Amino acid sequence: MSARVKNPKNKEFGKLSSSELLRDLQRLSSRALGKAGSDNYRQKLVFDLLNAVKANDQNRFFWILLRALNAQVKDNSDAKRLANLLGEAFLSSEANFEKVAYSVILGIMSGGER
Amino acid sequence: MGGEELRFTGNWFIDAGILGFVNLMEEVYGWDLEELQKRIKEEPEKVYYGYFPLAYFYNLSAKSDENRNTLLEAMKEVEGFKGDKHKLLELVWWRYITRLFKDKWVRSKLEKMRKRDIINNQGKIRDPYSDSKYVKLLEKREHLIKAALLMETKDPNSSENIKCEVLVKRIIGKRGELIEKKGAGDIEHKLSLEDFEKLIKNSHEKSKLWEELPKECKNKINKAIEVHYELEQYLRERWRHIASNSVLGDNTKESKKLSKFFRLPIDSSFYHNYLFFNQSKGIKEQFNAFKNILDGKVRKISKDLSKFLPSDNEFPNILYTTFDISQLQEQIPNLLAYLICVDVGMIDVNYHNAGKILFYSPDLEFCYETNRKLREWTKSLRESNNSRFIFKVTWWAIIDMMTEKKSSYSLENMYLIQLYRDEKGRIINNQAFAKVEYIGIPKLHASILLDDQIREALNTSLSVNGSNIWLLGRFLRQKPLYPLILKHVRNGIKDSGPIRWRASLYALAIDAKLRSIGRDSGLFGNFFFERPARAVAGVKEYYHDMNQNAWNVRKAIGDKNIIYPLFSAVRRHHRNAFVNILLKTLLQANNKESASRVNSYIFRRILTNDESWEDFALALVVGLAGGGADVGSSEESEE
Repeated sequence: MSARVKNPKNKEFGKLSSSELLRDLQRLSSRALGKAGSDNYRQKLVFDLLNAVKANDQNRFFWILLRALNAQVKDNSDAKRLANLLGEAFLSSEANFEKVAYSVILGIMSGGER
Repeated sequence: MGGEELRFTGNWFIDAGILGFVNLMEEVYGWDLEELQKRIKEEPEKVYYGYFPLAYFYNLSAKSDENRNTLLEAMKEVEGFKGDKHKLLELVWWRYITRLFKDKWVRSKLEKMRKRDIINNQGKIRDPYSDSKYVKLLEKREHLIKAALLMETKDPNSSENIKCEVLVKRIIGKRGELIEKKGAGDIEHKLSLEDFEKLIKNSHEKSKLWEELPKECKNKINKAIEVHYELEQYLRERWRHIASNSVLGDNTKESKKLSKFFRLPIDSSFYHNYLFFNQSKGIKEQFNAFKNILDGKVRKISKDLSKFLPSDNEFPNILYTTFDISQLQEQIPNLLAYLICVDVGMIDVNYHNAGKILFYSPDLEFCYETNRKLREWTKSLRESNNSRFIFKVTWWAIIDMMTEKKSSYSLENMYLIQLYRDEKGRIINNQAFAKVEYIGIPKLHASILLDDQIREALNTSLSVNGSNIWLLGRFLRQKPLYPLILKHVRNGIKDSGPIRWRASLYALAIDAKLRSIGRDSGLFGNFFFERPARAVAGVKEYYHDMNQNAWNVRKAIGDKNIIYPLFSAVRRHHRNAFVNILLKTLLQANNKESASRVNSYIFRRILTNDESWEDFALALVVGLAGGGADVGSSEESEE
């Protein structure tokens, strides 16, 4: 079942990291990447993502994430939605980047349960 | 007709009087508030015109077995009395209240050892001593004492001539002169009643020093003692006539004199000159003044009742007329009876630097019970100059009360009123504020405090930087609890001391709740008024969540080394670092289920919560580092 994602285009820029958006990001990440590959693959993916956030390296984070998503896009519509949402989200400020990034990471870590 | 139940008025001074009234009846008759209310309802006249006057003056009289027996006898009389209230008051006053002061009255007359003590500037006998036989006997005794002291004899130790005065000084152990020359050959002795009583004692016991006195001197002193006894006897006889107040007759000059002679020696450190306390009033005037108080026939009050009331000097702009209380009396029928009990409403704190204190809240029952507990506890206080301690003890009493009664309204309006002592530690005579401390707490805090579980958890001391801090005290002062828990956890991590799990988590939950409420706007909207009721539910929900996830993180992570970096991140407000460290560790957790729950908690309570994420983050550190004292039971954890 696909998730209904509200169109963030009409939202004010500052509201991008509202908890609603973060919840959407987390749910979509969980569905798109929570079950991707083996446990080890996901663990490494999360580890790399965590390091990127820690270093506050947005480009690297985006690159790792999109590479992982690219592998899922073919047969996972949630991966497309997540990519759309990320496009909007990553235009935001530093503090928001952290929230967005951790929401995605927590989604992946929850193992597709959501 | 049934009496009106006692109720507080909202004015602290009147209410202190009402509380004093309640305290007085309890002290004297052992009636608690419930019993008193019942009696006022059933037989108000007996209470106000019989029991109350009796209790009031019993409280001012000397505590002796005889007075206690008088009281018991009077109680029976009041119990069985049937008739008019004024007749009851007369009976109680003339037959029993006078008897309570008999010894004090006799002694006050005997204490005058010289005629000079009882005359005014014009050389006339002052009214309270105006009785010819009394004056005659007093003069006789004075003359004999003087004569004895002036005699000369041989000193048994040096065979020189010395005055008897020296030997008498040895007997009574006094250094100063006993004879004073007043010029023009006028001589006075300086013996006090206590000195004279020592002489009497020595003469009875025939002590060695007494036996050294020359015979003539002994004879003179023995005669003075006889006259003294005669004087005492005479005074007691005179006093016996009082019971049948016929001795006072009508309003003649003679009867006024008599009235003053029989003035009750009533003294209160609180009221100096108010009506029947006034020195110029005779016993009849005292009676009428007291009767007027009960009948409510005093229309104005001012500084002679209490310094707290306005006076012309202090308030020239408002007091063009006297302070009329008739309006108040319509609302509070026995107002004046209460106003003369204000001092009984207060608690004497028996250690240095603290005078009288009064815990005040606008609810009679709450106030009465709290003060009662406070009175018990302050009795045991000694040598503590810490006024904070009073604050703490007061709160103990309040908290004790709260386990029985729920009254958030009272909790909002509480004061500690403190009156001065002088440097010698005595309550000083004038009524002066030392301070009034507002100790009420907002409805929001009050509602949280009223919850037994939360209060119990907070009512503990946490070790912080080597000292113990009372957590509840911090909360009552409306200080944020987070910094305290942060220090407590740091203590636990650094010194491996116990971390109080339950207390810490509840404190963090409260802190988080108050922070989240802090951002709510909309004063006086529905939301504002519903806040207190929802606050407790909110705190409990937060606590539950914190507690479960403190257990989950404990189960998920075995490596205790991450406690330090995690704590450090919280302390420096680095959410990014905190989440990063925690997630990396959770990636390798063995217990995936617990880790997954903690993940959800991180998202809900830390990542998407800008106001109070630190509280929830620190709760996880408590989970990892805690487990010392008061660790939550596993039943509380989610298994």
